[in-house]
Amino acid sequence: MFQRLNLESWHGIIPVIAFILTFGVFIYFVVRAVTMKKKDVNHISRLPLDDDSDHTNDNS
Amino acid sequence: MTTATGPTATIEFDDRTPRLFVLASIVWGIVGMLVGVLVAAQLNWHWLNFDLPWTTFGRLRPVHTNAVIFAFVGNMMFAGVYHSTQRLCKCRTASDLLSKIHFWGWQLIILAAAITLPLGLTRSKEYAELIWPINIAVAAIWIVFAVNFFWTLAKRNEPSLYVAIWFYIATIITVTMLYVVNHLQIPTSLTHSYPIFGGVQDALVQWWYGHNAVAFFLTTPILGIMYYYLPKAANRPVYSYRLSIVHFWSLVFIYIWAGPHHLLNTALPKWLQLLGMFFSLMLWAPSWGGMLNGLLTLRGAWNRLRTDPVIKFFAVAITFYGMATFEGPLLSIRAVNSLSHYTDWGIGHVHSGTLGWNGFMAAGMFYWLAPRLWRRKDKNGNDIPPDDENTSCNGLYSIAGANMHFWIGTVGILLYVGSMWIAGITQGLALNATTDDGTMLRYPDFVETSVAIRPLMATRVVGGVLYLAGFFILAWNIFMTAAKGRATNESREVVLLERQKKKKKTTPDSMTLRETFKNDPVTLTLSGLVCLCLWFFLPPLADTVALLCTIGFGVLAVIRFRQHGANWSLWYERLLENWMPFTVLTFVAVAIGGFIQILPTVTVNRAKNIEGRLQELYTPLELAGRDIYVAEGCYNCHSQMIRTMVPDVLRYGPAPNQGYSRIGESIYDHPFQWGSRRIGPDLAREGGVRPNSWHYQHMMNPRSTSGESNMPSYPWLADQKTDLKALPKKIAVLQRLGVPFPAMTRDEIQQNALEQGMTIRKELEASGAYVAEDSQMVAMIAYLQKLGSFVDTTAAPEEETPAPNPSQPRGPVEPAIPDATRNEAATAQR
Repeated sequence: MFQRLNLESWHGIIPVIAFILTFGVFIYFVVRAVTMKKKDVNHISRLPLDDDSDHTNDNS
Repeated sequence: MTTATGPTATIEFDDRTPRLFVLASIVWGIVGMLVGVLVAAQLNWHWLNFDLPWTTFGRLRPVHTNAVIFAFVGNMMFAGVYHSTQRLCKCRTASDLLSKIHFWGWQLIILAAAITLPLGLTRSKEYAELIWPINIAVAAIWIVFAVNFFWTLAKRNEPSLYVAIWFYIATIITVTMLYVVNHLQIPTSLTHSYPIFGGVQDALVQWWYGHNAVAFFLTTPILGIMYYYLPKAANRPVYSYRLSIVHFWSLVFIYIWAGPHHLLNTALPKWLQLLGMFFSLMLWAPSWGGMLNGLLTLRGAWNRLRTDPVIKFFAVAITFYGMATFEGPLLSIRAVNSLSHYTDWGIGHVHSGTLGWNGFMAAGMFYWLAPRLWRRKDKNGNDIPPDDENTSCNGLYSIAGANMHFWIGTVGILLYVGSMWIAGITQGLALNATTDDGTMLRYPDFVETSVAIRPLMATRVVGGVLYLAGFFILAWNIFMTAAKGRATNESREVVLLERQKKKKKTTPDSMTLRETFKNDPVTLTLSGLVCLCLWFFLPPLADTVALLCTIGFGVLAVIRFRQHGANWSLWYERLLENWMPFTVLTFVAVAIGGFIQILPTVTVNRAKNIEGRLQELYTPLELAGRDIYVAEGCYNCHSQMIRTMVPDVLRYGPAPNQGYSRIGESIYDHPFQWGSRRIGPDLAREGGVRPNSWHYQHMMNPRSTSGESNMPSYPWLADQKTDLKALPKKIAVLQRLGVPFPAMTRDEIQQNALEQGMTIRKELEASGAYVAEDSQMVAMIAYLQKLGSFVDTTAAPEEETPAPNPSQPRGPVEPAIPDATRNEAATAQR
């Protein structure tokens, strides 16, 4: 029974299910990313560059 | 999307912690790469093993891998995370004390690893070799890091979580999950333990961890670093933030499933192999999405490739990321893997990732950070601004030195990777080549195929030396920058975020866990997934009901979305500003893959369910020999897995009752010893092939039996005593783990081991070799002669198959090759 479970049933089904699951996740996040507001995208994407002032302190 | 409003304040970042991590990364990087060059050279010139226990390839190779992964890249990653998170959150790290504990604790762990691994104290699981007390220390320090990081997120003055922070979150939670599961073990002493998983279970868990150590320790944090430092260096935002979102979720969700591609064509159930291959191929898409996003960020800044070493390093690093993530899926195709696995092709692949992607990202980041962490002044006493139109690392001690490092390092990588590709394909083709319609091996002598690639292995050493030389230049450059400059903490004026009560829904971190999960998108998706899983497991009829429920939840989701679609969007947008629910969601995404792969294997692939071959239990002496085999790191060169391929079977299991390795043949092995590289031949059926005297001579001096062998000599095995007193505890632990050792008293165990040792000792004496019955040599020979022993449970299906009694030592070994002819035959066999 377990040999059949290992080698036969799971063999065919799991990758298909896994693919459907992954594809669903992928589509969901593509939709979410595409429908993001442009203003928000611009704001977040510029966060690394958002360093206006440039004070420094010696070796504290 | 909310923005920060409120009063402003000047905050001073903690840049001391990134400085320390940068310096530690450079120091440990040199140590790790130096050991790497040594072990590479040992494969060409065996005398570099120095005939000392603590300098053999088997013991030093884990020092190299652990040093470069956890010490070099680990410290580099922490430097980048501490530095960038403060800027992205617009606040100082939450706790200076936790930062100090993290830094010094991590360095102590590395030091402990550098001491214990050469002493032969190892768990033998790749990248998870450290012994259990160090494992606990790693877990504790990792928790300190996590607390400090998430506490900083909670204190932040920027509502939005930039994508780099997402990658850091994924790193922290996934590494925690992987590390805990793969290090579940029961100690037998202060320095030894057995993993709770054995055989195929251990193999699956190990490579679930091993593959994702690459994914979530060497890739996701470095991608976070890329998404922060590349825009900084190029002075322009990331090419497509939307693409980075898709990149993150796809990568995190897919990566975790791909572990079984390390076990293709083995005894691992086929559905798992298929899953590993399938997801590895899918992984190509998000990886290249990230690579293209990185490279396209340089649009309009390509001219700086000529003048800015930081951009040079980043551009080549991202290119290597693309190459490695193309090659990985390629190697995961079963047909390609049958050629590449167990050869140097895998080594070349790994090093294009580590030297090219990790090493060059580290170099780029260090060169960018150094003039900012240690500010230098010009001749007039003014601060040198790090940025100008040509470069982003003004103030670095020597920009010319950085450029020289770049070129030396690039040539080094190309020599290294190129030679390993050619060596791997050459040896793979030779080992798999057959004649006479596939009934005979074309190159039956393993050593012959090994000797053929020696020039390429020497080229690899040259490549490694060049890369190391480049890294010495980096070390000199950074240390001189630090010496000439002054350690500096950046201060910045930020808008303080107004902290509002949690019930108000538009403020950051206002989302409770209840709100996170008690909503349509989550409840309907989880219900659908549960029903889907039930469909797999339930018996006929019930599974149909589960399937109908799955479809029902899908339909319900569509209806609810049409009614309340706006709420679904709001939930997602709030999630991106709330670190805790975001973290939970990321954990769910990475846990699904592991759950679906590991749970069935752990519950089903157990000895009691095995149909067919079942491993014979080790005698106490054989078990002791196995622990010596593990301690010496023999698994670094010898696999114990004959794959389901004709050449493997012809070479290692040609007899009618042998063939490829079955799942039950290693089911009691805690830890498993399937291996990942064949620098020497497979040993799955080594037992009984050669006489004890051959093994004695081979271990005293491998060149005496195999003239061109590059194996180290192990003369100390003849002098050192086997720790027989530890055996009762070890057997008791294995019994707890389900290995059906019969009840034996402490005296019986030790007496049994001594009796078997005396039998072997007498045989050796007859051939002129004199060792004590309790020597490690005798135990090792006992173990090697046991390899490949199994009972066939299908031979007597009507009766319950009794477990073989290890208290009855096997009689004298009758070798397939008698002494008189072994010298000629051994060469031919190898």
